[in-house]
Amino acid sequence: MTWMAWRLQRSVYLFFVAVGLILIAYAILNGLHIEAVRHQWLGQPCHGGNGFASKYQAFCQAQNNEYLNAVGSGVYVHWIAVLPTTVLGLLLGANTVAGEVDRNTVRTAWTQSITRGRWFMTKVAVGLGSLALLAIPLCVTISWWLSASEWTPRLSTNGFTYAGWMPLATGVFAFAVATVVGTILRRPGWTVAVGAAVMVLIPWVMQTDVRTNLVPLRSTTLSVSPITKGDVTVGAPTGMAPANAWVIFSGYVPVGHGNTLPTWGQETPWLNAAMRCPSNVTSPNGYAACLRKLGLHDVELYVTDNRYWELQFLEGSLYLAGAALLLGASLLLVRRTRS
Amino acid sequence: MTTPVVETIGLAKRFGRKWGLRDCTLSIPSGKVAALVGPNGAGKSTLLRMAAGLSRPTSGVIRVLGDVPSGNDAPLLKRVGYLDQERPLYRGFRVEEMFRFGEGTNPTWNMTTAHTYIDQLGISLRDRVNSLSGGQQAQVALTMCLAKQPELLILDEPAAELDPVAREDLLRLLMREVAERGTSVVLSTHALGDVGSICDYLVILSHSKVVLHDDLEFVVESHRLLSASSSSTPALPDGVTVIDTRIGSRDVTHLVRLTLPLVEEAWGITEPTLDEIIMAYLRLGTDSASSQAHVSAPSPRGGIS
Repeated sequence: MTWMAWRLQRSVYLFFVAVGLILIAYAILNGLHIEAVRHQWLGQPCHGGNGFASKYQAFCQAQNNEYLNAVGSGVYVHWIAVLPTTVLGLLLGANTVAGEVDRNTVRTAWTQSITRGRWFMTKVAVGLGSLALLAIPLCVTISWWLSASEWTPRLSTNGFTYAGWMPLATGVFAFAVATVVGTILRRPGWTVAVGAAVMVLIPWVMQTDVRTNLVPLRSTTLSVSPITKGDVTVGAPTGMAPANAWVIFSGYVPVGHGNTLPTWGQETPWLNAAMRCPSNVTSPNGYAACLRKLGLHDVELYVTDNRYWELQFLEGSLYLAGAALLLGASLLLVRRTRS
Repeated sequence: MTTPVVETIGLAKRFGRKWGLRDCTLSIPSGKVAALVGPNGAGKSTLLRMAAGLSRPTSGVIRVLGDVPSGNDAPLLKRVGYLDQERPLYRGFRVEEMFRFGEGTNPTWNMTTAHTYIDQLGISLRDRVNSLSGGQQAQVALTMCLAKQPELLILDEPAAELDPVAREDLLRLLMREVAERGTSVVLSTHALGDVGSICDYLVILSHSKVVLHDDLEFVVESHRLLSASSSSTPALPDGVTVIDTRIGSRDVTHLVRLTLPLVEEAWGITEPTLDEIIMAYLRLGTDSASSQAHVSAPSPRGGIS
């Protein structure tokens, strides 16, 4: 039966393996390229734009353009793990039950000498096993790429979902969604369509509403220090969250608000009140006095980078627990369903 | 007394607002080749799918080899071979891959039997299923059922759409299996010729109901054609149930089922062919309710439902 389950998904899976290998090669080359260009841009003689001799103006401009172009390509590269694993998960899940019901081959499979439960579990095990074999190298590659390219902090909205082991977890979840939807709808095309919609919705909810509640937040109060340059005094913000932290909220909250995220309803009036204060750049002292008078302060709520794997584990576990529940429901349906 | 291979009590299956099968009570003894005959939509495939555990009844009971069929009962699944009407093989597979699937999912699988049969049918193991004709696909599907070596074969129109040669090959294959292994067979068919040549038990379904089930030999013995002039029709003798009546310009002919020995001189008595009996019962389902009213008494052996 294991061979059978593999044989049924072989062509689709091998196609994705071929695509995955190409994407891995591209991500490696892209990561190395961004890393090299960044080193050139930050090193001699351009210093990342922070002062270079005028004779290097054209050279540094070209370096800067090349660096920006290379970084811009990361918009596509950061999808390289999560997109194929999610799509493959949907396709394999849709084929687990819906594909066979649609082609009527369940009437052959379900009348051999193995139970439907064993048939289902074998197909699920082979599907998930092969999904993992593709997802793990992709996850490793994208995690390395994020680190090498410094395209975005790994604990950021664009970094977190697309690297670590999240692509594997979302792929497994997509597989489970498509399996249970397919068991109900019995049509692979509709199953993939509904599954795709679910896989847009759930990660969005996870990103906007769930993730922020999984680990405790830290806060830092931003202050603006006046800096005098020549005869001009400007405000320079200090006390910002660490560079690699995932900043979830940046805005005004009452003093003593704590580390909880303000709601939209709270956030807007506080912001509107603070907007009436003088500019923090041109009048830092007036700005600080105004905020004190309003009882507000400018804060950043964030998750520190050292929480990365804890958050990966927790969010990934939520996906896996959801997948286990959905597959359990599918198993019950398969045991009861007619052909 | 041996356990019937298929036994139903008040079995019914409804699809939405339409009944696929109603009030089906029958018992098919072990060791028989039973034919399930009926027009399209009579409920043959519905009954066979329930017997194969692919579908669950809306009401009533079905037992196969003494157990309630279920897709979760591996010991029973091992004892039953099922050939679906649509021959749903994996289209992209080669024949040898279908057999590998059969071997991997059936502990009693006999690969030698599978290879022998497929060789005899002139089909290569390397052929892809989707490159085979409908008849060849049916033969591969039947070979898979036979190589499983079940005690009971449930075949839904195994010879449908086959050319005469393929049909002959398939039926010969089936008969050899029955003769060599004593396998019980329940098959549905539209070909009345097949019923007489390979079957020894008859179940007639019409309009989602069982109208006759009995040993084929007894069915023939227990029916007679009674003919008389239409101008002076004598009274029907005792112990007959009229199944069908044909009124010609000069005479009237009743096909009757005998429940008592027939001692009659007023009617001309002839033995009907099996086709005439089956057609009479099939018409019974389509004729008016008045003709159905003639049929009431269940036979002590099989019965009229």
